[in-house]
Amino acid sequence: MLCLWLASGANVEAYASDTLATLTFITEEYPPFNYADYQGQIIGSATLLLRDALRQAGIEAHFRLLPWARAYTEARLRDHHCVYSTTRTPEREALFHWVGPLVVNEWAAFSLAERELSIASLSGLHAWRVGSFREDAVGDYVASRGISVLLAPSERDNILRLEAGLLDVIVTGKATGEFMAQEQNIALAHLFTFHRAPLYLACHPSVSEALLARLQTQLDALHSDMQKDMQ
Amino acid sequence: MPCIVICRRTCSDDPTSPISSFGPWRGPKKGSLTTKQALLTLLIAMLISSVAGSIELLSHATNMRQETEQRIQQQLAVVNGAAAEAAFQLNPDLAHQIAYGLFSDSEVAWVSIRDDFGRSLAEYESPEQADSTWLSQYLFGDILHHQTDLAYYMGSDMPEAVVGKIELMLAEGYLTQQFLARIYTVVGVSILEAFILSILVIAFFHLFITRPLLKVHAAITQTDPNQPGQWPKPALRGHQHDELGHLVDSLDHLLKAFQQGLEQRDQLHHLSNIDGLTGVANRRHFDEFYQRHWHLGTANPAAAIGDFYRYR
Repeated sequence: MLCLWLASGANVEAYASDTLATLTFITEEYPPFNYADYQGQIIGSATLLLRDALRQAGIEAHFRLLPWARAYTEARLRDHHCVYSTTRTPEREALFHWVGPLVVNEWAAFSLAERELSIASLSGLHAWRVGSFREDAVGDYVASRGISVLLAPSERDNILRLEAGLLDVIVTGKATGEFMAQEQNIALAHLFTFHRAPLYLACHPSVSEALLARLQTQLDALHSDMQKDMQ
Repeated sequence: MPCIVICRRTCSDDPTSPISSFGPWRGPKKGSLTTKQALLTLLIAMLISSVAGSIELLSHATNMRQETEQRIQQQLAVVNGAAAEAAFQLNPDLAHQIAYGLFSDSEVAWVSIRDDFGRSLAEYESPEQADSTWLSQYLFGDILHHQTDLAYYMGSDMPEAVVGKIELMLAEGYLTQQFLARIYTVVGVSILEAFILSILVIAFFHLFITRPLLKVHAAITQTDPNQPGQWPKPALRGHQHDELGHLVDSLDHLLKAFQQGLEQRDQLHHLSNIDGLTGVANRRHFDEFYQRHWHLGTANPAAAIGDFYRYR
């Protein structure tokens, strides 16, 4: 009986690892790097780059879009899961295997244009209600500088909160803020940019390093192609 | 008390004494009808109230268990959506709000919301843990622990996914306290009810049955055996047409008949000893008289003889 149980347990495990061996790439709504279009198709510059690299490397992956905290935690704690576009911070370094950079993110602060705020640096944010979202590197960085940050589930909520007057300033990627302002037809004023961070694909340590090395090679090739095109 | 019993025995041993222990009523006596009836009524009332109390106790325990279980399941169902959202978003603030909401119920001793990785998002535990007793274990031991999976619906193209778990423990000490408080009230009220009911029954029984009966008894003891027809027939108000009234009527009838019999006997006795013509005592009277006096004065038959001449 025990043997039978053990055998069946082993079977389940083998089956599980087989199915999970299919990589899952999780991302969030962070345009223009990664977001879902109106048909629910996951697109964005980082997504397209990854899809190309995967195709070149002959690797299959399943894409999913989740709220950032959930997306990040899935990749951190679940086998064969990766998350993008992730800022590579010292705290996160050891938790993942990294592939990239995919794109470069400029960390910026925005407010409603009509407010006509003039804040030139992070230290000027102390007096204001600053919004970010959970597990976001930008928000975490700002919070680590002693500024209290109000957390929303996603960046889109923050734009709406800003418009509703619940927030004075949001800190986010420059491209993301501009993209969303245009999308929602809101006039945002870019206050200042305080950091440039390359974004990566962060994978759970269970993902094979050889496989990720193949992906990295293809990614580097794509980058050099793009640079050639630009020249 | 014993003195009264002795008195009653001596009194009733003397048939000529019209005094009765039942004269004026001096409260219930040991062994009296009212006392026996009172004791019996109380006994029955206590028996019934304790049986009814036990049934109430059992049904209350069952009800309380059902209600508690139902309420907790309902509460868990109400917060399930929000808790699933918190677990899916991995939002500890929302999870804390929900957990705190559940925990604000004094019945809840511990509540925990965890994500699907087993990490705690929010947890509340009451500091004072009441000791578990055999009673609390017996009553509520099997309904203390509740848990529900948090299922999140992500979209039409995805199956519902379990994104976490909500778990809580009920405060068995608090539940038992609630139960006992309720039971004390129930038992107290039922004992009081039984007591009041028996007092009413005793008073009613005494007023309508025992007291009239005692009146009849007193009247009988006061009756002169030589003149039963002259007995103080008791007037029982309100009983003229019931069994008690009939009893008095029958007694009256019987005693009157006795009286009539006695009068007839005396009449005949008189007739048999007097000469109808002369009105002088006759020979039968002499025989009886001689016989009686012969026995009385055996020492001197001559005295009897002397007297004899009075009959000539």
